[in-house]
Amino acid sequence: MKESTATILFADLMNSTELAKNLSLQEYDDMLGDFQDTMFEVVSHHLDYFAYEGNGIDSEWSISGDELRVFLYSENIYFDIRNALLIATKIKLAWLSSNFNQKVLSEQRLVSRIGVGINCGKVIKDVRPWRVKIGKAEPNIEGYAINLTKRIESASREGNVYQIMVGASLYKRCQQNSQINVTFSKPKSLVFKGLGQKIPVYEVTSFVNFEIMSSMPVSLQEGLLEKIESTVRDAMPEPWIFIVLLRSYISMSNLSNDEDVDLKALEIGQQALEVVEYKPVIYNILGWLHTYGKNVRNLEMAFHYFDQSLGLQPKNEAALLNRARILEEMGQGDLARHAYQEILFQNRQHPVARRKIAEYQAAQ
Amino acid sequence: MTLGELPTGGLYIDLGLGIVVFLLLFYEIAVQHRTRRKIAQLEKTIVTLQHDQEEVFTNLEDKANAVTDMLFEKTKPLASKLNELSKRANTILERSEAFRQEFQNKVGSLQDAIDDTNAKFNSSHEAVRKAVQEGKSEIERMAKEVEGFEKEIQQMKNFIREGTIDLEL
Repeated sequence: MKESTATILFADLMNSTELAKNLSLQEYDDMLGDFQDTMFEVVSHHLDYFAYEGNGIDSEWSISGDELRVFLYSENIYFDIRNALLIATKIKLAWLSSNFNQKVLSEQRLVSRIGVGINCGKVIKDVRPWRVKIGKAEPNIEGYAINLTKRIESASREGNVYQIMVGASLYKRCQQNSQINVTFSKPKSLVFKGLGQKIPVYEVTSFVNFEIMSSMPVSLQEGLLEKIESTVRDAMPEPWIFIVLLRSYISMSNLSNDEDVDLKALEIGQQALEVVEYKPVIYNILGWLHTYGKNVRNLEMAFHYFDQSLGLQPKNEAALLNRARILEEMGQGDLARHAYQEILFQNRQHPVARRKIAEYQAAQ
Repeated sequence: MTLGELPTGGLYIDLGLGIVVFLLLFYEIAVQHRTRRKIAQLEKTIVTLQHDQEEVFTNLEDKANAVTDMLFEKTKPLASKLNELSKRANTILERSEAFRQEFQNKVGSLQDAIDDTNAKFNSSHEAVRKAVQEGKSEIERMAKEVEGFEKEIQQMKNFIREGTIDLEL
């Protein structure tokens, strides 16, 4: 028997029962086959890419029907959380660009979506005698956290941004770690069947990570960007796609001199402001493009966007830092110093702000 | 039977044939006479030609003898000169051989030393060549490693840069 803290991810096709009613048995089987192939390709490649050993050593996963289960227990909980969020976003992205959904999109019908639930908690791995008798000698993974995560996943239907729901355990850990750029909605207290108490559930409202696209299997990367671009031109684009797309444009802008990328990013960013509920991240992206974009540099515009971001979220560290840098570049020394001090009020260990304040003090 | 006794029809035919035979005989005699005369003329011409040929041969022989005499006269001093030169060449060759022998004796030991040095040099050269070749391979391998390392560093730089951007958005 082995006890460990695992990050658990459940994912399944939303409204699959309704879908089954409207599809023939063959069509439903085709859809399931496509879903399972896509999940297999993304998850197996992801775990290999991020050097998980698998085989029950630091991770295990399975697909059954329209459900995916992933358990990560590498002994670095933040690493596991980050990877669970990456897997969640990647499977949604891969499913959106799957053959099944591309066909649905071409027929201008509503695409099939994936709901995800993620949580952290204690689990036990044990070998059950009855399983050995039926030839399954590998340890089984059990624990309350698994049941809870399954219920959290069922709440994903109520989500309207990412449809990735997390439990309080994961939420708290993300608040403690500033290395994962993820934000959550306000908690929804839900009563789940069999649990008898209200459980807070949070929806991911933004997850910024450059590896969502770059760590996709090569077979899925081909034409992926174009497929995502086509979905944002849809009448009802999903908000999370904008964040993924804009982050990809920033990577492209960072690695190339393509003027079109910056312009396209600004255009999509403006469109995102109308669709995405959690706007600070979009303002920050627009601000970044005007600060560092090689062809659309405009510090005044950048300052304006970071200011907008702070208007909605005064403690947004990224916006505070970028605003301080712009003030410094504009020659507004006193204001820049004040902006860096503002960052230190919130996070006394912020390395950039500490260094800058030390430089100002040394210059006096 | 006399001519007058000859029957009239046959008489004219026989007479015609006799005239033809006569004419043929006369023609043959004339041809023979002419042929004989031509043969005599030819004999005369052949004799003349033989005479002329003899004269030509005589003249040619005389001229050839004259040329031979003249050449002999002319080459005679050259031959003596050639003899003299041959003698001198032999003398030189003899002297060269003596010198070569003497030189061989004198430089023999030096040659051995040079051969030894040369062998040593060749062996060193081979060792150096091998070392250079190995060094070259090693440098190439290192260059590849550096190149790979450079790519890795670039990837790491990109990774850090992208990771930093993530946190500044």
